[in-house]
Amino acid sequence: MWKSFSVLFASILVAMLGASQPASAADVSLTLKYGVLAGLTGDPAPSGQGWNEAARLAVDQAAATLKSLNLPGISVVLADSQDSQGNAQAGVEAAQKLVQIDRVNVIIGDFYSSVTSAAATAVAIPNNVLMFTGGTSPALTKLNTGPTPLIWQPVAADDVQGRVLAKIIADALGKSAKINVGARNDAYGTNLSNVFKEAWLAGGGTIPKFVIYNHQQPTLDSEAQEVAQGDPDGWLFIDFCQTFEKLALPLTRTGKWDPAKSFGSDTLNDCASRGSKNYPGMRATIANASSGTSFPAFRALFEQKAKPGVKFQAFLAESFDSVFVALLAALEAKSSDPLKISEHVVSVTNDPGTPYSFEQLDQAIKDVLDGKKVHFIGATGPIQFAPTGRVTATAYDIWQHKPDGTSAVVSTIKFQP
Amino acid sequence: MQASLHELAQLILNGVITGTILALTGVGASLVFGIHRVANFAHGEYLTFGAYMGLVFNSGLGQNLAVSALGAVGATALLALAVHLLVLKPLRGRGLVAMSLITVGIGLMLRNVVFMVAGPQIRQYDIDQSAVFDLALVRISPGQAVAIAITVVVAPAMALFLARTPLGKSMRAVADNRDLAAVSGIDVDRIGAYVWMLAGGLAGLGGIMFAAVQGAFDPNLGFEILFLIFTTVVLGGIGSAYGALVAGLVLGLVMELSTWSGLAGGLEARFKPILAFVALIGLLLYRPQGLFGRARVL
Amino acid sequence: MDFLNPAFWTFVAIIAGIYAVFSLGLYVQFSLAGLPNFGHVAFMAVAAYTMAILVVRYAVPMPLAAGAGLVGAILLALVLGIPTVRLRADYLAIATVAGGEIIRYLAMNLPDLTGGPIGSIGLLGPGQIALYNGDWLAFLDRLAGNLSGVVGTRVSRDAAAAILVWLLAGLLVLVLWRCERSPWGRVLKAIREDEDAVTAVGKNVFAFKMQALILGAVLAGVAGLLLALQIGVFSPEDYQPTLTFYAYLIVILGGMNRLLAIPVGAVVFSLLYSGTRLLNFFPLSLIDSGSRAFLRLFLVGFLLVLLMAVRPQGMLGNRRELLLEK
Repeated sequence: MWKSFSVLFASILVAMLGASQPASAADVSLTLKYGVLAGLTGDPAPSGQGWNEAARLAVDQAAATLKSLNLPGISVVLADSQDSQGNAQAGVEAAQKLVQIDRVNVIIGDFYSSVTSAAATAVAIPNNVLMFTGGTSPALTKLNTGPTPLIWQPVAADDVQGRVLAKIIADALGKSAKINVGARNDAYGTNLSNVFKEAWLAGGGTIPKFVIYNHQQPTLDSEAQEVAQGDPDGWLFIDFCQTFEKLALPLTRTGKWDPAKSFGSDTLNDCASRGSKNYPGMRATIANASSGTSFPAFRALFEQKAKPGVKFQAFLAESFDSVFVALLAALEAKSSDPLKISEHVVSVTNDPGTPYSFEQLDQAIKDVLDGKKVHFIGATGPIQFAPTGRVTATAYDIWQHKPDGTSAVVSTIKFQP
Repeated sequence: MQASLHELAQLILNGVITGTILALTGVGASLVFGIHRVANFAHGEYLTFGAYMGLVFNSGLGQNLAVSALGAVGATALLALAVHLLVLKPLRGRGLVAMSLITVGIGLMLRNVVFMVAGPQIRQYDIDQSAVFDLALVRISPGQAVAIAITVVVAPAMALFLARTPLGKSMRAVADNRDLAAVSGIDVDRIGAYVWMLAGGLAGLGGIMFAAVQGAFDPNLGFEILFLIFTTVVLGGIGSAYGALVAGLVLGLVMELSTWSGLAGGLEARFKPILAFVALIGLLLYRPQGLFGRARVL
Repeated sequence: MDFLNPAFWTFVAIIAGIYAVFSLGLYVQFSLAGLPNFGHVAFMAVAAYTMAILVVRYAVPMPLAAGAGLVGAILLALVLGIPTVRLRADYLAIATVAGGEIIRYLAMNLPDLTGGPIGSIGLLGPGQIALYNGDWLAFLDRLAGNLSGVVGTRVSRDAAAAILVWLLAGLLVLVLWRCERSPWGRVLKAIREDEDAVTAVGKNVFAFKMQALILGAVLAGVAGLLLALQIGVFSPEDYQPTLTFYAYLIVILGGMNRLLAIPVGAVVFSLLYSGTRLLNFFPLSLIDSGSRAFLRLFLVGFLLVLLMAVRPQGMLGNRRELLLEK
């Protein structure tokens, strides 16, 4: 009799255990709608079109992976891409269209901080929609006042990048060196250069010439002349490749410029891939692009599949990664409700969790659906979102332009903010 | 603060080059403004079109820069003529503001067509922009050399054309006083068409020069310089071709030289456009008709 | 795709109303007084920046800051007007564009004063986001609450704003309509037609033109304040000359020289401008989303030309009056 009792007991136990297993993949059903907000026309067009393409490629990749895993209940779609035209008013209207008409759950964009803050306060936060922004203002995540952040910033903000640049230049040229600064006259250039200036002067260095220039001008010859003066030990440039060319050419002509003593912001790490060219010896820093082992794969994918005429830029990886982060968080939350997704963003981008990049997306999705923890490693690196909405990655790659015209990572440093 | 002769010479050169681009494009815009009473807000896009046409000839068809420039000039002249015949002439008579708005619309269309067809990425001509010509006082790039060559040839040619040839004189006459010109037997309609072709051609040339001097360009090229062109036109006196030539050069030189460190440190580079606009308003306070405009009330 | 979601169209309605007010200011300057002011957007900018700086940095209460904003617009009108009002029409057009661009460039290049290129969020320095419209939003919420009580159904904050803006626009139309028919208005129209005759009668033409400019500037300032409060954030990029072009479009689209047609023009313009955002349906969805953005602006330009070609007198205008236009 004990035997039949124990068998009965065991089978009840087994049944109970079976009932408490996590829901299998077939039970999760959601449709995740993305919208892209970026300056697609006019002045920001080269960057905005790239941002859009990166998001599109990520959504396509995710959709293909889901299909190959035979998960018809889960779908991702890029509902629309709207043009913010680089200004706050158009950006809010664009965001309104995405949220009210396309009913997106996640907005990928904008990469202008002014547009992002307007769209966030006027549209995303009141309507509980997630935003993954490429804007670099350190204050953007301060807009998150609710219990979980809606605004996520996958890029290292200016306050960190400025100090990283100061450290790198100090390591290379000595911390009391004379560094001339040339920066484009927009929010990105002026903010980052000011953070650097503060950090550099505080460290004992000097800045003989601090030149802010209008990148839309016909020629930048006089600006180049100014920034080459003062006999500096080195230079720092903050600009995008297409407009930096306008400055670099006259700089070369002055005969006083040495690219080997020059440093650039993350946008200048590899200009040859963007249609202009590299200056052998020049260095630039990017957060973690090489320890994000999927960066080369992303770049290859982009160059293969992006619309012709849209050039690859390193910061597009932020747009790309955000799509996957949102997807994995949604799967872990088993919902496309942005408030629920936001509760899981930290979890899928941090340890503990098996590390996966977009190349192993199928495996990552399977793990999440099985209830296992994952740590998504983006093309930008280990990401590691904090509950504030900012990334906490601390490793930075130093890229250097090579004599043959290409560019490659020469070292990686750790930076403690 | 050491203010070197070298720096001054370089600034003068830059000023002359920028000035010539403004001057040549300004001549066309000024004549158009004077003859057709239209502020052509699409003028910047004609420059962009010229720059890209140059690319078609240069990179696409493998021609050298001189031939490409000619091709660009011709193509843009044709574009301007087409726009005139198909859109502006039939819609004539709607008043300054409406016609200007039509040009805004045309400009929007052109700019975005270039974006769609050519793509937003930056472009370069097939010349080695990193080569440097060291000329004692100044160092110039191949692009700048091209621009100077064009300046030296075209600017005097333009002045001569306007002063000596029958066509040039007719153009100036119509721009000056349309009714009087018509009464004295000039075929105003035909001249009007020729002026558009000239303006288009000069804009195309300006676009190529601009692109060559900058080194790299994208479809935003012409739009960024549009208001400086208008400033040139007004500064020189609307309808006065000579005025535009002079005003363009003056404006270019003033903007560049203002940053010379010999002038108490010099103006910060990013304030140059403000200087241009302030100079304009300042001049208009004393000479409301611009440098060479007619001092009469319409 | 929820094409008819009232939330989106309410937002569009607010912007349309603000543009109507903006264009009324231009109407006074251009249609009444004959001043082709192409720098109208600068009045918006000065009003918005003055208000934001006072609220954010000096904790000035909103109504006072708004008043100061309007004073700023008036001051700009004086500074801009005194040199330019006497100029011939085409010179005035370009000179006022230059004036507007000076304001915009100054806003971009004086970061300590204006926050620089990043705009109003930078008014407290790079580490913070400066917001100034908290009071306004609270006010709108109260208004929406009251209206909900009155009407019976729930009125959203945006709907309250839309109603408020359009009531204001309507009020301004009435006021200007009276102004048009007053002696003052008649003098202005006479100046537009034949300045010399008016001078011969002994009127101070310069003073009348300045008054028109200032009145227009105040209206533009009101529009600028409303826009800044609704969007919550602005930067120099928001004050490009293109906005003035839009105002001209509205004045013309409604019907040349027809005050009552300006609201119509504003609505038509908004439909054109915002409606072209809704292009992601078949077969246009076959075009990639990046190119659709260019297509949208191309369409806006095309429709502009088309409207000018087909109906140059605007929706409610009179063709005969068009022929009288210089």
